[in-house]
Amino acid sequence: MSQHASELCVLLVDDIYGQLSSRVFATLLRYGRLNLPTLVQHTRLSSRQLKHGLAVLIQQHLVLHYTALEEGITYYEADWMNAYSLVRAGKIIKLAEDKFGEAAGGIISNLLLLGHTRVGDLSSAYAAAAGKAKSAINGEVSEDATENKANGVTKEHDSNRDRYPLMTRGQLHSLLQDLMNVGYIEEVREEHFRPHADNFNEAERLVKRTQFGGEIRGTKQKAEFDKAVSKKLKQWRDGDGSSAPKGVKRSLNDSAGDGRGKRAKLSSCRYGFVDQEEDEAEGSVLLNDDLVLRINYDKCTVALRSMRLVELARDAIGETTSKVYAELLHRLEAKIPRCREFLPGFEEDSGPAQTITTLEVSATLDKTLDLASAIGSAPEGRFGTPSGKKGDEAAEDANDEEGAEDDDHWGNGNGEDHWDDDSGIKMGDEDQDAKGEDRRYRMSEVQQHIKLLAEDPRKFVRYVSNRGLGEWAVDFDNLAKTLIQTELENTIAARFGRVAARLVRVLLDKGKLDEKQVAQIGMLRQKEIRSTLTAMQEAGHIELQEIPRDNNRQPSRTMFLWYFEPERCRQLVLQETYKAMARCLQRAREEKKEVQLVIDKAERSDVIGKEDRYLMKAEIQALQRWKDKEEKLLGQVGRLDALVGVLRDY
Amino acid sequence: MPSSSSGSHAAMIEKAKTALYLRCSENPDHLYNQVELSALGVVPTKDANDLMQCIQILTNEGRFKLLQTDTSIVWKVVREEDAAKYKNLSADEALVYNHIESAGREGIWTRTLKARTNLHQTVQLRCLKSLEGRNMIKSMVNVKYPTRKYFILSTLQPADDTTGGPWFTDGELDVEFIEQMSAQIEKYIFSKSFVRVRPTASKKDKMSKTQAEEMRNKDLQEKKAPLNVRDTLLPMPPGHMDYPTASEISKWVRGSGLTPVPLEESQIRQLLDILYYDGRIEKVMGGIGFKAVRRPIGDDEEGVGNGLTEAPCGRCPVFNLCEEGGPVSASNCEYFKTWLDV
Repeated sequence: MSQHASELCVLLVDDIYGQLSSRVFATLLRYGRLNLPTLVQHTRLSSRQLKHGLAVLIQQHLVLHYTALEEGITYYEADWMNAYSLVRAGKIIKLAEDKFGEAAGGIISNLLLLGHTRVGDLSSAYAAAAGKAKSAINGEVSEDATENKANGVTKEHDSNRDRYPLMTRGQLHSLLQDLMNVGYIEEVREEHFRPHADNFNEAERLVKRTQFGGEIRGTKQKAEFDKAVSKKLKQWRDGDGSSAPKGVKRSLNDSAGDGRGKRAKLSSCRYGFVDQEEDEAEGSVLLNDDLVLRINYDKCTVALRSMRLVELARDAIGETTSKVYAELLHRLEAKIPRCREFLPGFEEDSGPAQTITTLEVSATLDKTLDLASAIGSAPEGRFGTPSGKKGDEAAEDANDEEGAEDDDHWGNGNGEDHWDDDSGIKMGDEDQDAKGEDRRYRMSEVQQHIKLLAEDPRKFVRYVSNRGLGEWAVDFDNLAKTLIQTELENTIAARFGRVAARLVRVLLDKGKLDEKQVAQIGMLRQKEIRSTLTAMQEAGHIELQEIPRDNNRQPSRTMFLWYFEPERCRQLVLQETYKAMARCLQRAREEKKEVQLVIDKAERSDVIGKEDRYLMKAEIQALQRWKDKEEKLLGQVGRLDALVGVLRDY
Repeated sequence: MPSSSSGSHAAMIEKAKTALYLRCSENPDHLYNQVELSALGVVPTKDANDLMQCIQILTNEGRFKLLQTDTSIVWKVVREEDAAKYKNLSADEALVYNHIESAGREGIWTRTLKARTNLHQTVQLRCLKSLEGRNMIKSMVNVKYPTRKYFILSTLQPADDTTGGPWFTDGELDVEFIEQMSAQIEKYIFSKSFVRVRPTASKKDKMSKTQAEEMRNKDLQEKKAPLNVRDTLLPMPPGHMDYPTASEISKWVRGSGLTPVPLEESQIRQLLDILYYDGRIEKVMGGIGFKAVRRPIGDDEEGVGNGLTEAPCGRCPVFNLCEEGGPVSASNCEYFKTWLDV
């Protein structure tokens, strides 16, 4: 947590949830963990106001709280990562829209506004909107939340009509299930409201008492204990073991029992799916109304990372291959709950990387995608065999091995079929075989594209085994490093010129180098690079190491070695990015202040809809100018956020 | 020895000396020791002293060069025209010249020269001046030690490792030349890295309806906005092993006639390295092959940069001072103003 990041987070909270919330949030960020009386003291708010503010923040998961059992005092703590994620809202909504249509985007945006909400409240809000009832969302959402939101984000959809489009209960629930299955939204558990350190202590206490009889002896037991704690924490955070729901619909007969009972049961049964056949014609499974949902930012980041990687693949190899890659990554996403572990106490997943096979990818790949024409054929291969053919043969070999066990109608008369295909004659009644042949051909094409991805120097995928026409894994860590390095080089190139980027790459490749060596390897004049190197050092992108040749440490008897440290540079650029984001938001606010009068006028209830009549030409122009400016600034914030994604999250 | 015969003796020596020089010149690269010289039999008296005298005179005239091997003293013949140069030189000058000559194409640093000749600074300087004035020696730049003063015979070209090889012109790195060459090499690698296909020309025969439609749509789009050339490039098939290697590239450069300067493979490698460091080519086939990067950074319209450097903050010289309430802040920022007004 840095100064600039906290500045940015406070700005975001302020923009969206208003001054009261941001004041409480800023205090918590500045002072860390506080209890209510101290919070009152620092914020100089009345305890009543403060509680209002805290309610909103807790509802939005921006503030975590914990009440220690023995003391009975509640402590509050700000969660800046969640606050930062507010800036990503637009991207997440877009993500859901792209995958599941506009309605899903709507659900996501509602959830973003509400922080978390009960399924029941959500569906009644939609139902109410459908029934043209104006007052819609009120369940357990506090008044402040809705009020404050209204002046911030919701410009684009003022009326409830837009926010809650017509949707049947079944549609809503199935959409929610879809979103839950991909993990964009998750069930809220009690532990989500507690700071990580408290969860950690709690887990330790619990594991110690229940599994180790209150005492831990020896290093071996200690290791076991750590493992058990980490497992417990994972379970609390991600649910019961399997982090990615596979969409298994289980029924839960809890029609009896009050809300509290249901809540307790929820943590044992993954998502309280309830069969309510009488409600829906299709008899689709409905979610338990008491299920509480929120956005799962971690999972959304995984999806955003995939998008970024696909972009990289598109630039490196080509459009079609990147689409194959997109499908591959999308299939893998289900197995990846988050990009990386940020919190201490979680063991790194040292288990084998998640893999996926060519078969799986080609099964769901868009059938209309023209794969064959996206790979060129070499004029003459070095080894005489055109590679395309080589691939086909390999694929066929693999098929022959599998054929018998895999699919009956493939294995039959495979050989003959093969000949038929070559001569281009196809018997009409061998429809099944033809289909199999097509499928096989299709898969070998997919395989070709994945091979391309594997052969690229960036190593988009890694070959694991021959299973299922090739089993592949993705080394996200290395790819993230590539992305980070590219962004750092971009930054440096834009600031200090292309030459600087070359120098940085030389330094990265060779380690610590003397100025003369740098010049020699980079084939540049020593005099000319000196200024560039110094400028970069001033900006903190590269470092200078002094090695005295004797004890006197005279400059003339000292060697000066330049070096580039990616991690330090990454941190620096990240902080600058936070700062730049904060500045953009501040500027946007400033621009708004200038035209505030006009905005107020335009938002008057008698003016809305009749702008042409009531607003002067100059005013309309001013509004338009401001809108353009704000769009540009907020767009830039989005671009900066993409950079943060690369530098921090992926 | 009678005095009357001294004149005839001197004449005899003179004759013997010339004969000796001529005989030895027949085999100019040979190193003669005393036995061999006397075996030539040019001195009629066969007296070792007389032979000695001849050799001494020849050495003084600069036509014989005295050399020392491990065991004995030997002499080498100096060609007439080379010897002529020494004729007009003073003893010091001859000494200096001798050392510069022996340094050959490497040249010699004035400091080293001083140490070898043991001459006083001013004397040496005078000698160098007069030699340079007579156009017998010239100064040169050694790229390894650009500040040191080197001298070399005026007739010689400095050796490659002192000039820095083909990349240096007059002791300065020829950046232009390097850029030109690497650009050409990149072009060559590029031509070998992708298959260029016109979208319509590909796959005429088997085409499903959807494919045809897609293609038509694509064409329509193309008419609206011409695609980036690099977008129409298809990757080579996986397992393609025909990416150019360093030796192939250097062969191509040699055959292309791009430059009269002969370039070694190691020098081509240097160019490949900087192309790699510029992010314009990448290594494939386990590092031996080279492939052009499909879209090098900053090659398209957008230029280099990212979200940070596009924003005024990423390029702001006073970004460190920028703070709300400080002398520079988002609200009074000039850069934002110009950026937003564009």
